[in-house]
Amino acid sequence: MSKTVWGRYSPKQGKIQQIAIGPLLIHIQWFSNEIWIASRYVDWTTTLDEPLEPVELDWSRFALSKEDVAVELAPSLPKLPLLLKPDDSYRLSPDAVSRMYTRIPLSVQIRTEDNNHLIAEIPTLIQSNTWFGSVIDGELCLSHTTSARRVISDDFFMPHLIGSILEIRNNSKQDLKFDKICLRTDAMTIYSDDGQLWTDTTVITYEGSGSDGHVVHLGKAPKEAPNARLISNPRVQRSTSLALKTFELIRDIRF
Amino acid sequence: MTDFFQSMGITELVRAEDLRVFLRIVVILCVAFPSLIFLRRTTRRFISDRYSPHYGMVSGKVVWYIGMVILILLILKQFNVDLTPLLGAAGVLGVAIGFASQTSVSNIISGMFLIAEKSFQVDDVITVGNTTGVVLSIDTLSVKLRTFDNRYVRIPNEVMIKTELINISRFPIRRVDLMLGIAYKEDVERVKGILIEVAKELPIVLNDPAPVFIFQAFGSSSVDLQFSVWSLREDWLEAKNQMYQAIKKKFDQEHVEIPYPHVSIYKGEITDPIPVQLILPEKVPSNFVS
Repeated sequence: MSKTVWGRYSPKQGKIQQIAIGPLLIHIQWFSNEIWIASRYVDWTTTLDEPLEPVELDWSRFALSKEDVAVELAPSLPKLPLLLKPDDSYRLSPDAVSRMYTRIPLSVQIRTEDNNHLIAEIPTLIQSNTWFGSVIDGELCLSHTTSARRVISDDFFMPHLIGSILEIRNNSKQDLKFDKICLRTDAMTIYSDDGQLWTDTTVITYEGSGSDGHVVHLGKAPKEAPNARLISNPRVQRSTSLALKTFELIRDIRF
Repeated sequence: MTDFFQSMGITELVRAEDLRVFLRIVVILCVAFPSLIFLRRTTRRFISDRYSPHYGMVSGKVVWYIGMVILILLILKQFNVDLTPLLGAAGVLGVAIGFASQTSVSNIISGMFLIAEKSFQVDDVITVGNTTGVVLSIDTLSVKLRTFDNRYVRIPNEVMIKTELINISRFPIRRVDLMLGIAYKEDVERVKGILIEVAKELPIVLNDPAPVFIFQAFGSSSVDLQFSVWSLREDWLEAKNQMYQAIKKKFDQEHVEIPYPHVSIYKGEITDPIPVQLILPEKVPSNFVS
């Protein structure tokens, strides 16, 4: 995890600053009291070594009340829920508890330093939209696949991904089999532990009632991040336990 | 002349009575009319906020019409009009008008059924016959639509009841059906893989519900396929455009042929070939280019 990516960027009149966060490249430049921001996605595994091809950037301009205003780059979680699809279908026997590590693609919030005004929010990864629920009633989510690791490997942390722990408890009397699981990222808190980003742990308890799960966001850093400090609070505050449609258990027949 | 009326004692009588009636009517109009407008607006807003704009509009109209009837009756009462014969006459007139306005009555009743059935609401996008548009209002006699090329269409309620109606915006997601034709020489499985890849690459296309691939028919000039993807209802047109453009680009890259309509002519075994002979003029014109 790069420790220098997030934080303050001071104006350099007429010069373009380029910030790489995983596959996302952000370009910022200042003109008088305007901040110009552009972004593009690149094959980030090669960007560090090879010079990028010059491209025509699609700039967005923000006029501010003052000149030479610095900006802060902060990590944020997607506004839309994330529909996680484990690489392999998952099954929990009755009373089983599964603690899995997953990673969530971050967004970048660009705020003015003087009044903390949000001027842009850019996802670090382009994710496909997906639908969670029936074709008549459901919700729009972002699609994401996960290997649902049981241990943290060396390649777990990446600049554009945040670690998240998911604890699933099957309190029902039958097996819990699911294809996908819906994570409400807007209710998650972000912590940083030595530059590595974590969300609070999400505990989902399945009681056997259809596709609903009781979802609790613990609101504190996981034990894997002992020196964690708070980076940002959730977008929305939810009650401690909420029964939400969480699991995609069986697929509808659609035509 | 005035003296004449004064001597008769009529002026005071007429003026006083007229003035009293006039004042009462003015008070009724000044108080009741703005109150009625306020009541209609409040009802509309309240019901719209609590239920839907459609019910708000209907409730506002009900309040308005009832209020107007009461207002007219109040004004008539100021003129000491006896309403009993009027109501009797209205009954007779009603029968006559009823016969003469069957269509209107049918529209009114159809309108009630439309509202009760809730097939669509204000701001929904519907198709009736060959007309597609956004519902502007559901009125006593007709439904008003705004088409996408910005025309104002009035459809009688009776027609709405009798005709098949498609509500395009009822559900949150829609399927985009793409009709494609590929050359007979192409590997259909490979083309299916390419199409799925194209759909995956476009964020506007929903991953789930998954795309549907249908082998439609052996067409006269092509193998006819249907590839269907899902999108949010508001992204439907954009998803369709993006998909068709991306498919064309990908097919060009992968050298998948999209055939033009063509006809192959085969000579029968018994039939001789059609003789074709090229005859050049003896003198070649000076401007002839071989």
